[in-house]
This record gives sequence, C-alpha cells and structure tokens, in this order.
Amino acid sequence: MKKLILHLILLFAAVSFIYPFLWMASASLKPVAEATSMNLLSSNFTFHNYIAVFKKIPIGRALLNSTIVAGATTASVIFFSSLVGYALAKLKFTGRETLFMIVLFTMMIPGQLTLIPLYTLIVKLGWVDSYPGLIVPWMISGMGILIFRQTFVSIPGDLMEAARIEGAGELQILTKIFWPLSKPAMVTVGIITFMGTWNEVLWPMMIIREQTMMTMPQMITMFAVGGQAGGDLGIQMAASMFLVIPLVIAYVFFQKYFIEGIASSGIKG
Amino acid sequence: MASVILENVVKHYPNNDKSTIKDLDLSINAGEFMVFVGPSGCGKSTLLRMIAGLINTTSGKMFIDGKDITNLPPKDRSISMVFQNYALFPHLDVYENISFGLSIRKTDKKEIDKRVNDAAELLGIKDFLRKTPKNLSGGQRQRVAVGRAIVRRPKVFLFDEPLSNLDAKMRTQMRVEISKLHKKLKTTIIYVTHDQCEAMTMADRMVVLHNGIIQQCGAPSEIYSSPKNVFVATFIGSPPMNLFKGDIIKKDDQLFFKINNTALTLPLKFPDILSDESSDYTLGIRPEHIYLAERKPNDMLCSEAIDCEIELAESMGNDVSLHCKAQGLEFQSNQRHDFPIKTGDRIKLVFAIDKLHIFDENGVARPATRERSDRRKS
Repeated sequence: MKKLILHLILLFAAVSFIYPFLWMASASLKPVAEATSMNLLSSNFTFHNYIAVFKKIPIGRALLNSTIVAGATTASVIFFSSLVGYALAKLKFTGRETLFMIVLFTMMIPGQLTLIPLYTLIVKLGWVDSYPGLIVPWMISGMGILIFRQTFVSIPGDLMEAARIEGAGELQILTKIFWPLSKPAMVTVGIITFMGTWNEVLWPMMIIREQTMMTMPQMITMFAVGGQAGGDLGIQMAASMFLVIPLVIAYVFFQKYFIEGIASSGIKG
Repeated sequence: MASVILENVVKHYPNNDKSTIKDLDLSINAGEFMVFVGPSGCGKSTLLRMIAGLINTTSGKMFIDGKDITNLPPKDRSISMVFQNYALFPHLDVYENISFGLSIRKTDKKEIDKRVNDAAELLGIKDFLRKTPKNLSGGQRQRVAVGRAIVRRPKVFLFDEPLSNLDAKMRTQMRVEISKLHKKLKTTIIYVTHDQCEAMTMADRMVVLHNGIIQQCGAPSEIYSSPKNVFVATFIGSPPMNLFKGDIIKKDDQLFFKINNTALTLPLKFPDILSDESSDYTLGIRPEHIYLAERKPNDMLCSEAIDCEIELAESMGNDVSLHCKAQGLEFQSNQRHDFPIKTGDRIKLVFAIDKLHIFDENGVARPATRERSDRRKS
C-alpha cells in the first residue's frame, strides 16, 4: 500500500513535469482554433505552423548560427577546461591551489555583473554582429575546469608516469589517456555547455543586431514576443519546438554516458 | 646493454628536514641485474624514480651508458619501467598497451606489429592481445606491463616492486620468469623490492638501502655472509640474525664475549678486538649456524653446549624454526625437521664460532679474518 502511494506521488510528479512539454508539442501541431485547448490529442494535427515559421523568419539561418556558436563553444570549453583541469589536478607548480581558488571564485560571480564590461570590450574589439563576439567570451568555464579537475584527480598518477616514460608529452597524455578515461565528465561538461549556450538569449540580444547573425532563442524570442507571430499560439509553439528538438536529440544520444562509469581496471585498487 | 652510474646523488624535499637520498654513489654494470632492497620509506623507490626521471634530482649526476641523463625528460633516457600496480591503460587493449610507446614515437606499423608479436610470444600472452586489462588476471597484467617495457628495447629496465600485488604462488612464478627474461635479453635491470627473498634470488648484485644511504652493496651471498652492519644483518635473512648485546672480556689470553651470565668463547677471527677490550659490542649469529650439540659438524669450531628450552617450534615441513631460551638469552635456531621436537622440550645447542659476527657500538661489523681457523688446522 505504501509503495502504491509512493508510486502515485511519483507518477503525479512525472506527469506534471512532462505535461507542459507535451502540451507545447501538441499545440504546435494543432490548427489555430484548437491551439489553446488543454487536450493533448486532436484529430486535426498539421504541420501548418512549422511551415508558417519557415515563411515568416529565416529560422534555418538561425539554426545554423546556433549550431556554429553552441558547437564551437562546447568544443572549446571541453578542450580548454580540460587543459586547465589537468594542470590543476596533476602538474605540480607553485600557486596551484591559489589558482584553483581563483577559478572557483569566478564561479561565484553572477554573469550579469560582467555583462556591461564584456559588452564594452566586444564593442572595442569590433566583434559586434559576429561569431567571435558570440563565442570567444565563453570559450572556457569555471564549472568545466572544476568538473575536469575533480575527475582527473581520481585518475592514478601511475598511468600518467607510465605514459611519460613511454614517450608521451603532456598534451598526448591528456588526449590519449585522460580524455578516454573521462568520457562521462566530457559528456557532462559538453551537454551543460551546449544547453547553456544554445538557450542563451541575453548575450546575443546585446551584441547582435543583424537578423542573419541571430541565434535561435534570440530570433524566436523576437518573433514570439516581438509581434511577428501575430499572436498565433500554434506558430509560437512551433518556433519553440525548433529550439527544443536538437537538445532532446542530443540528450537521448549522450544519455548512456551519464550512466556509464569509468571502467578503470588497468589499475589494481 | 648499458651501465648506470650515480654520482653524489641527493634528493631533498623542501618541506622535509632530512634528505630522502643522501649523497649516493653507485655504479651498475652493463647487463647487470641490480636490486634495491630496503624497508618502506628507505628511499629505494625514490631513487628508482630519479633514475627514471619522474622525480627531479636535487644535486649530483646520473649517467646511462656514459651519457649524462640528470636533466633529461624520462622519454629521452632510454629506459622503461614496470610499475607495482601495472599502470596499464584501461581503455586500450593488450596490443595497444604494448605498442603505446612505439606508436607515440611514430614507429612503422609493420615494425610495431613484429615487435608486439615477438614480445607476446616471449611472454606467452599472444592469445589475449585483443583483450582489455580488466579481463586479465594479475599475472597476465604483469606480463603485459613487462611486454610494454621490453618492446621499445630500452637500454635499462626499471622495475618498481612489480610482484607485490600478486599472490605468493604467482610471485614465485613471475620471479623465475623475470630472471629468465633477463638471461635472454641481457639488458641492465634495476629492480626495487622490499622482499629480501626476491632480492636474494634474482640479483646479480644488490643494494641494501636504509634512510637514503647505501648500507651495503654486493652479491647476495656476500651480503648474507658478511653483513657490514647490524641493519643489513637483521634485514637480510629470514628469520633474521640473532643479536646479543654484551661485553668483551680478556681472560688467560683468551677473549670471551659476555652476555648476561652466559660466557661464550669468542673466536680470534676478530684480531683488532684484542687491543680494544670494551663494552657495547653486539654479537650476531644466523639461526642456521646454531647446531644441535650431537650433530655439530666435526670440522667446525663450536661453543660449549648450551642447555635450552624450546619456547615455540615452528615446523615448515623439512625445516623447523626453534625459538629458544637459555640462561637469559633468547634466540632462534633453524634445524632440519627430521627428529621429534615440540614446544616445551629441552635440547642442547652449540654456536658455530667461525660463523659469529661482531658489531661495534655503532653497529658496524668488525672485519673478520680466518686466522683462528687456519691456525687451528695447521
């Protein structure tokens, strides 16, 4: 009986969590008249709203922009954060702990606080309305460094020393030994960064004016709130679906890495 | 084959009062199997890692094959190393593990294939080249680690306690295999262990280390039979050498070693003691040099029979280790276990005088001569 109640509570929580998303998906497929209905099913499902979005705004271009920006940022965060994480975890140098503290400190600073100085900097560099403006400020992250550092600390130093004796340089040790042994950490950092960048609205709003340079969330926000959708809920939802689908696909694809632990059997524990 | 020479090598960690390695000189011959042995924390692994280049040298110089390697990175020292926990790369299979160093050095693929297969053949691991380390037993992993070391054909192999994670049977087997491998490859090996049995059986020469200082360096038999100090005497040999503190006294031109109330006749193979009658000496004798009175060898000068009580008799099948107590002395004696004996029995034992060791107040061995025995025979 206790189990049944628990399961009912969990079921309720799960449904209340997923329902808004399913409703959005459903509304995007319904004709205008039915869009506001709370019912998830309809006999008149249509792709009309999606076609309308394509006609009204250059969503394809925005999708490309978002993919380039989120992809480049993610790759760069994984590369640079793991470099720093490796140094902080495995290399011995004066001031290592202080440096780590500074990295942690940067995570305490609210992002909004740095927006204005960053904006000024980007304007001075002439990077307004450009990919570098969207990518460069976010190429490394404190969170990424922290996750990589913590993961690398747990990799036995003997593996590093063995690789060093075999002739590997530090970069080779990182890419050939530490990366393959840290797949879950890489995927975690990758997904968090990709989602964060993909969903970012505020920063592109600040530095992008040209419609051709806009990212998906920026364009959809402008579209939905800015009046181009003409108050049509179905079209607004369809536009939002474009934003969500790539993330859902990415999550489904990489989910197994979240579960997969590091098979570290080369070292006897 | 390459020689390894260490000159005035020092390792000092900034936060330590004492140096881990103190002004160490050592010359290892080309093709030699050299073992560093000592208790935990004696500096043996530190020294090996310094030779490997994994730890910086504070001062001094190191040479491999005449080339100064003191400040070279590990990859340029022409060494390879087998670690205690194997340090195999868990995400690579056996083939990739063995060939790792060669592919990093961009060796030709055909050459890699040939060398890996040769090594696998030699070590008997050909059947699982495509398995990952987690699917191998401890002994197999150790073979893979050895394979990775030999495939690059370095000038010197370094082994850092490679057998300590294996069970007793596998350890004995791998010990034999490594010794055979050395005979085949004839490459210089530096092998670190805390296990004196490994050191004694495998080494051409061994270095006994304690507190970062070489206590003695020599062939295992030499170190066993003529330990230079009390530390070496007790560290090498199992059970360890029996030690008794006492005084040397002179009576009727004859020297005696006095321990509590027991006086043993001291041999004259320590001539410099004659003029140096004093206290604070330590007498040492190995358990196998204490004989049953009735079985004492005819050609051996022995002490008078001592009546002992057996406090504990530990049988190992063919041998028995007797923990004896007599006249305030406690010592161990090893005998062939071909007679009935049990705890609580009383027996008569004699000390082989020629096999006694005398250490001075600093624990340093007094040089022995065979004078007494020779005179006795003539």
